[in-house]
Amino acid sequence: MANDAFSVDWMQGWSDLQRKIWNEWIAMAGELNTNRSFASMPGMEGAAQWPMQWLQQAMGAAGQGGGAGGGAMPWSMPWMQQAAGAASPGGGSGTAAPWGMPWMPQGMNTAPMDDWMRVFGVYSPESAPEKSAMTNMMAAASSFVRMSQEIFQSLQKMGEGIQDGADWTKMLDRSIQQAKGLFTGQDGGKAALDPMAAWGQPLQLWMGMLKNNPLFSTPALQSAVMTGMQSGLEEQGEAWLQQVLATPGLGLTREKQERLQEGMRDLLLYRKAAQEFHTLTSQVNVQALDLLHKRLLERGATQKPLESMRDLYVLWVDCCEEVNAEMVRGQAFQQVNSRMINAMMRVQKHVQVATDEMLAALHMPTRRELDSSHRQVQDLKRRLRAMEEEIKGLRTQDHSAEMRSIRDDLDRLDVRNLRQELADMKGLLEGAQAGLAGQGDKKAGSASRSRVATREKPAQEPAAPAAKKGE
Amino acid sequence: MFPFAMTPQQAGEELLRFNKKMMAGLSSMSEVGPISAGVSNREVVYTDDKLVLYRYQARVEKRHRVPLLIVYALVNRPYMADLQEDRSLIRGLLDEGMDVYLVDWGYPDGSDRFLELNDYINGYLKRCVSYICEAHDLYRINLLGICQGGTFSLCFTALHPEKIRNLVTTVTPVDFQTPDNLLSHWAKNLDVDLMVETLGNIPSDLLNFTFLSMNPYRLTGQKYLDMVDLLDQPEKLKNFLRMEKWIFDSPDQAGEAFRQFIKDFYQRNGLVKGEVMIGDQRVDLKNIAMPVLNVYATLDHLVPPASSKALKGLVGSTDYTEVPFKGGHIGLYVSGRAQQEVPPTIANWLKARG
Repeated sequence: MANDAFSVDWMQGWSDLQRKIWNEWIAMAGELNTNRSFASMPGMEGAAQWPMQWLQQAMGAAGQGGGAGGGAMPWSMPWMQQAAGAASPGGGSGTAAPWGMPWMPQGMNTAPMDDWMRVFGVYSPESAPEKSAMTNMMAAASSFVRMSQEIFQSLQKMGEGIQDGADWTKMLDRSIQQAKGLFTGQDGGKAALDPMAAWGQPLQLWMGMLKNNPLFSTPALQSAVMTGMQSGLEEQGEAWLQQVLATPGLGLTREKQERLQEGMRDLLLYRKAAQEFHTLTSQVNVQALDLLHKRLLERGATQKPLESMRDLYVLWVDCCEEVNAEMVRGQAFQQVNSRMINAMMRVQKHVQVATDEMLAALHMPTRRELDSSHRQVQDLKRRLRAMEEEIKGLRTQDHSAEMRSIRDDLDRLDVRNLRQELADMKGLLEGAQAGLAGQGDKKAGSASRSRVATREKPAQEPAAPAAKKGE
Repeated sequence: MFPFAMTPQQAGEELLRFNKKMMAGLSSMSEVGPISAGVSNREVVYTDDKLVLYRYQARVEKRHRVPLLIVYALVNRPYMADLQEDRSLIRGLLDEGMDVYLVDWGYPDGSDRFLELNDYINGYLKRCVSYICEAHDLYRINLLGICQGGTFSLCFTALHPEKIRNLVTTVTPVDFQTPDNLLSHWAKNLDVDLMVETLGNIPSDLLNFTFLSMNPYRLTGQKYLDMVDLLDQPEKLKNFLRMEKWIFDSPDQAGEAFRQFIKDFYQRNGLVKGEVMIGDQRVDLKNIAMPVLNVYATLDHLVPPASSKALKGLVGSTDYTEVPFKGGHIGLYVSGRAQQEVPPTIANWLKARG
């Protein structure tokens, strides 16, 4: 079975396949019925209105000019120039695009899948989540097709080798080693395959915030630090920069300079932390290939060969996830990840302080003021809520028992007797006054005692208050 | 044996099929139309700042007499519990006769940066419970918490046990430091104070990035490649996009509440230790003496089963039931099997307890 697979020219197969795909795309482009034109795309002003026109222009121009670099085209896009430059003998890095097909027009000598994805990006839906899903789908598809192409080439070499009697395990090993170069980037260049491109987007977003950092008001320092961010500072240069940043400030701007220096030191720490993070995480792709190698050998040993490109892709993803899972559970990742995020936050904090200073100078509201206001409003809302609940509680409280109790107390007080007692006291007073006159003293005192005795009676009768309780 | 059994012709045909599907998908993606979520009929019965309390319309003649309040997490949106007609926990509960209410916390903005857990639990949630109690002339209602909402429900019930008749927790983290808890592992050395002081509210992108990082190759690559197979199936494509919308429709997190949740729950594991303070009250899970149903997912990578199962030894209830669901964190609500298993399990358990 294995040898049958290599009985034909694989590259011819790939070439035919690409031609077939290309024709399919052209047919699809002709069928697309949309109002969105190329002219609305950045860099495409003045270009053909519709995909088919564009394709004809591109192919026509390539056929007439025949030169590399796309210079003969009536218009060009940055990505096409770049691709053509890379493919031309004298252009760019001089590395010919491996997927170039002889029948394809010059200037489009790059992965056709990528080209068409960019072109058709203009037709992708404009609203979320369709747009983001579409973008991610295209990125995944692009990786898949590129990967398939690499595998095709590897398999072709292996097939030829096997037919010549070579050991396929050694050839597989060689292919895996070559594939590692695609993920790590050869000669310090950018990796050809970036399966984590979508994953990297948020990280790039975070890192992007540093670009407009107002901390770096001094152009020289700004340049030094940002250069370091992009390409990695030499240790010597970093030591020099650390020395500069350690120099104490003087005079009126002393405090500001100190803050600036601190911010830049934090930026350097962030740069270092980000590099550590990248170094650690980029190992996943390489280690995953080692695991894939192992899994393929196991399949060979257990007579369970892969039967489709998709199976191979899924197996590779499984390997990546397995390696990644082990890595992210480790202490090293925990520390590197935390260090990077914490460092990023420190830098952002400096950015905020600097931004606030600038805003304050312009007499505009600062983040600090807004925070104060929000905190106060939140406190007031809490107090308001507490008062509302207290009022509600008071309103809904059951006062009837308390009312009954008060009424009982009032009943027990026996208002009639109180009046009588008042009259008695008044009588006593009058009697006392009359006593001064002589005779009437004894009579008055006797009457008073008699009335007090009468008054105590009702208090000894519990029937009356008890009857009212039930009211 | 050579581990590849593919001829160039076969591989070529496969790639061609793939490309045809994708090209055809360009138009199906444009024609898919608006993606909606949340299918059951409901009405707004109470609002409080950005919070909205919904009551769902009955789908059976006679409703269970004790209403059920669903408390969702602050992360992501609660329509996950009512995603589409054939995948809806809420619809399933309504069909079982439950009288369902749902808390929608809304999207916090800068003015909510100082909201604390106390505001959420002793404020918003307590007022929702009080509203329902008053509306139904009841002292106690049933409470169902989802994920972080389950943790909030545990805190609320421990602080106000007199308000809750039966408590249901689903995929709820309790022990935040089980060895397999990746989020806890990552959060351990984060300077959360600095993060909140710097960012204020925590951006949803940061949380999504964290969740994607757990399975980056599948979630940012393979998933979208698989999507190509759905492009010629409009309904399935729509379902995929609906889930995609839910995943990335994430509110920012109110800064102070986030700080407290990460520090007290993830970094200090305070719920298990009985050290969490909500306002000036300590959360003691032993106060939870009413019946408790704890549903967890056996393949949950966000809230490992061990994290949820820790509840058993911590509550004071003598009527504690644990139900494993064979599936993942989200599968418990949206998978086909979950529709058959989860709502009836919850409803029958509640009905048996009055």
